Amino acid sequence: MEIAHWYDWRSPTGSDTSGQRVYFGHETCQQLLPTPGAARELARRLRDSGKSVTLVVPYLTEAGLRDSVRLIEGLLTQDASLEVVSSDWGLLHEIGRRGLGSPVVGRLLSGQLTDPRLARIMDVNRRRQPRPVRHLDGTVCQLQYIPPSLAMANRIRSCGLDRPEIIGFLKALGIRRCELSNISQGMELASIPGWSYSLHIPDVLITVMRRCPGSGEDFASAEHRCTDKVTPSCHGEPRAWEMPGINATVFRRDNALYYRQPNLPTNLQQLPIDRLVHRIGRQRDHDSINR
Amino acid sequence: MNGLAMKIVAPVCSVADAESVITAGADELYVGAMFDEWTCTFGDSDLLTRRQGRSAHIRTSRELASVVNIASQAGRPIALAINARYDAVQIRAVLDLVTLWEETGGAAVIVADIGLLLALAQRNSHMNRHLSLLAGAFNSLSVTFFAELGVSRVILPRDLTLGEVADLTAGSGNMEFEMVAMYQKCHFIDGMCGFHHATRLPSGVSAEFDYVAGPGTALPVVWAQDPEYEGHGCELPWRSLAGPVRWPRRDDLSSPNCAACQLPAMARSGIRYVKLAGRAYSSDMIVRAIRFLRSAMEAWQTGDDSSAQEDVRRLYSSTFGSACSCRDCYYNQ
Repeated sequence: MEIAHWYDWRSPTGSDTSGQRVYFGHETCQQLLPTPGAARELARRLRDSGKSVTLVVPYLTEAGLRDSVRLIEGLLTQDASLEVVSSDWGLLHEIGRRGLGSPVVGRLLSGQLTDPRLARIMDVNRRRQPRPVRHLDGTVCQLQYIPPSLAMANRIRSCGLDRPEIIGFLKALGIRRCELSNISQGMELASIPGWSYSLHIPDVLITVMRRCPGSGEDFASAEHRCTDKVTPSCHGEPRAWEMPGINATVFRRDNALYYRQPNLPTNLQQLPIDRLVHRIGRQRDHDSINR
Repeated sequence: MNGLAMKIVAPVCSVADAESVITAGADELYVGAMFDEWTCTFGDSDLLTRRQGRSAHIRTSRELASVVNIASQAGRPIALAINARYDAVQIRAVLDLVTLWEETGGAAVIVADIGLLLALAQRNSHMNRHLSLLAGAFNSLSVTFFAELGVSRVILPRDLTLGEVADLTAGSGNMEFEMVAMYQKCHFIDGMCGFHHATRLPSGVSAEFDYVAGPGTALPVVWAQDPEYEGHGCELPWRSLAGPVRWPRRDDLSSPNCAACQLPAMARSGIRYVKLAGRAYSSDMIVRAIRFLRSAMEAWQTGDDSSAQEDVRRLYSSTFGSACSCRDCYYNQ
């Protein structure tokens, strides 16, 4: 099993890591990618210390696409073995077509279902009281639990790429890996030769906001659009969100929501996962989520 | 403003819906279909299409054929939304549904799954493939990628600004583009969201569920995979840093999200189709939105820009009962 570390390039604490590979870049916001100069300097340091390098790029607008291609081309001048994780089909296609490093499908394109509530759907031993519900039209009924079918359970534990015909197509584009979150409902994945997954620990990426929330966390009453500059809320530190009915501590980091699942899947040995990606780089990430 | 040649694409969930939206002026229709065979295995959440619940879908093949027939007789193309991502078991059921749809005379499918696009190409399907906004085509290279997979129309993510849309379409050749113009502006990015969408409770539609006599209770029982479900992630309140509890903005009939003021800019960017989101919204909401958008297009075509803008805002107020605000604006810059 390869051990990789996700390094937040904005962190002042340095990039020392015991992992064999280091991920850097940004997964959910093109405004938060490093400049080509900063990326080259970081990649040089990592390579000098014997690490393999993975650049992570989010979904991209037209302008973000141009910037990202320049960023990748700059890194390739000093490291032909560069791996690029992308959550943008257009960029993945371009990387494969032009041979711009090794393309990897990012978590946002994996088609994983990452709602923390899915774990309780799978939990047949959970104690539940029948729940009376009054509909808006006055009708009253009682909700009772029924376990998901095996087929439904398998889909909830799987991802949207886990089919031979899709993986065959992606392999023809030069793609041989996909990134996944360590979802709390468990995982079921088919083993297909020449295809593998990376598992990110412990942060499960739930969703991405269309706008940055601003320092007041109020993304509903105002539209914060950071097309020109990074806002004060883009500091990379986790901020806890309490959400009723969500059976996990949800937190925001930059423009995305996550929850934590530190326990590895019990069936890890049976899964086609050959890399673990641990998040490092900010002390608060390790200590606690800032409330 | 001349040349606002845009078509309105409206959702339908029943035969009655199809008749009313065509009468109201919809140019194209889209529909979902969720039959008992699917719900018995996979439930009625968003595993088939992003829209959860049976009331958002046609429930029998017979009614599906009737809806297609009504659309065909009125000369309105109709697309089937099958825009989730599927596993190896689900895709077989989805392909059966696609076969039925094609045999019934459906004109197009709305798709996000790469494997489904590959399967349609393999079977030489003549149906048009519309790329769902759930696929997340944010740039021209993504459009090219999906064009090579047989997509003829891209429904653009509602998270792009109009400037970003103009950049994208300028580099995208002959592709058709569609954008959402009314309702359901979620705070999260559709194609990048892993929240589960189950049937909302309490529901305004009691017929959403199948009731059975329950053991040990006088109340009718509904079996649900998650009886504790409180709502979609985008509808739940949240609280941070000991701050106030915050509620997401709701999309309702009195102040719906709207892009009517941005229609000319969308048209200049090559957008030829504007979509009403809101499958399972009441027929009244959909009909009002169609009439409003049609009137707004006429205002932009006949008036100068400043008078047309005023006319559109007055139309919004008279149609939905309250003045519009920046928060309602779909592609607010």
